[in-house]
Amino acid sequence: MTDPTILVLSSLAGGDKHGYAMMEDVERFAGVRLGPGTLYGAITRLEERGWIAPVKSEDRRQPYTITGAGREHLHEQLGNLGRIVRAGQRRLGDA
Amino acid sequence: MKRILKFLARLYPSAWRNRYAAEFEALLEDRTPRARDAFDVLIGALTMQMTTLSFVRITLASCVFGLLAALAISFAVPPKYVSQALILVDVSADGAGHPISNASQNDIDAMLRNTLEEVLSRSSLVPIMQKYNLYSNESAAAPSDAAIIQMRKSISIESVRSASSSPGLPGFIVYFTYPDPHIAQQVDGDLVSLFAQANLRRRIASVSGDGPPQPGETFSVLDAPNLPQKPSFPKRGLFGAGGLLVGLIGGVVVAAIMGWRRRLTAAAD
Repeated sequence: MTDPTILVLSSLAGGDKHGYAMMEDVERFAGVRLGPGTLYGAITRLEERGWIAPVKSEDRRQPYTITGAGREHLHEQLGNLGRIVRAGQRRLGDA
Repeated sequence: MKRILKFLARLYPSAWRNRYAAEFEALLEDRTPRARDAFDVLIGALTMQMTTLSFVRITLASCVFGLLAALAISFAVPPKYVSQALILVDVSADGAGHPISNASQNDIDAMLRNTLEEVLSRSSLVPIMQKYNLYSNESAAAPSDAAIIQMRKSISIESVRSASSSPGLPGFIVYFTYPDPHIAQQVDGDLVSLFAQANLRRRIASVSGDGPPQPGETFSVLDAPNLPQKPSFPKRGLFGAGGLLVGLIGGVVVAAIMGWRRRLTAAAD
């Protein structure tokens, strides 16, 4: 649930953001405070795989956007997580 | 803290820095830094270095690390110096000083064993240990059993035999190992004296009929205890070679695992 790549993709699914905005957003919706090294490790991997892309900007703060492949991947991952969450809740309810 | 974070950001690979350094520094400026951010950036930099390094560079880096770590350990461990003295055993006379035929090697070995037992006895070692304050615990009045065992382990004897079958002058070398070279030399000198005294007592007992018949050896010190110039342990060359080897093996294993993980990730994508 705290995989930084999923958190970054989820953040960008709500709109383009630069690094600091992503950190603030992730902390707000997931309660996870990503460190700078962790965040940029995730950004590097996501960009390499083509799931996010930089948006043209004159500012040093580089904004990123989620790509179509990134949305597809996020859908798939959230679907998997959803199944796990539902199964867990169901079993807790049965107990 | 921001300065530290910016310094740590320089540990990222240059290719990564060319692409991300400006925005990463902008992020570090925007954010209120915390102590754990430094650890996070350091781990991020090391991870990025490892994922971008080639097989050869990972192996080389591991070799250098292994070498430096081994050398650092070799400087950290206490050194050991060995002083040695050569004692010749003259078997040309019996207990009364009369010439005899050459005593058998078994006789000499048995004599050496008996003498060594006497030298290594608690009553022989304790005065030396107290004299030089060896392995001492300041609060203890007498050396502990553990200290005496340690002292015994520091003493060793090596037989020296004539190369030919003709009668020669067999002897033995008395070694003493200690962290201080001067003390090692002095203690070795005292041990040599103990050997000579023990031998003299046995010969007197043999002549007076109180002891078993002895082949009549006399001890003479050919080489007095030396002052060791270099430690016998650690051998820095050996340590370095060992560190290099461990680093090489570790580097190859790490590089192979990382290559395997990269291939798995590429296949998953």
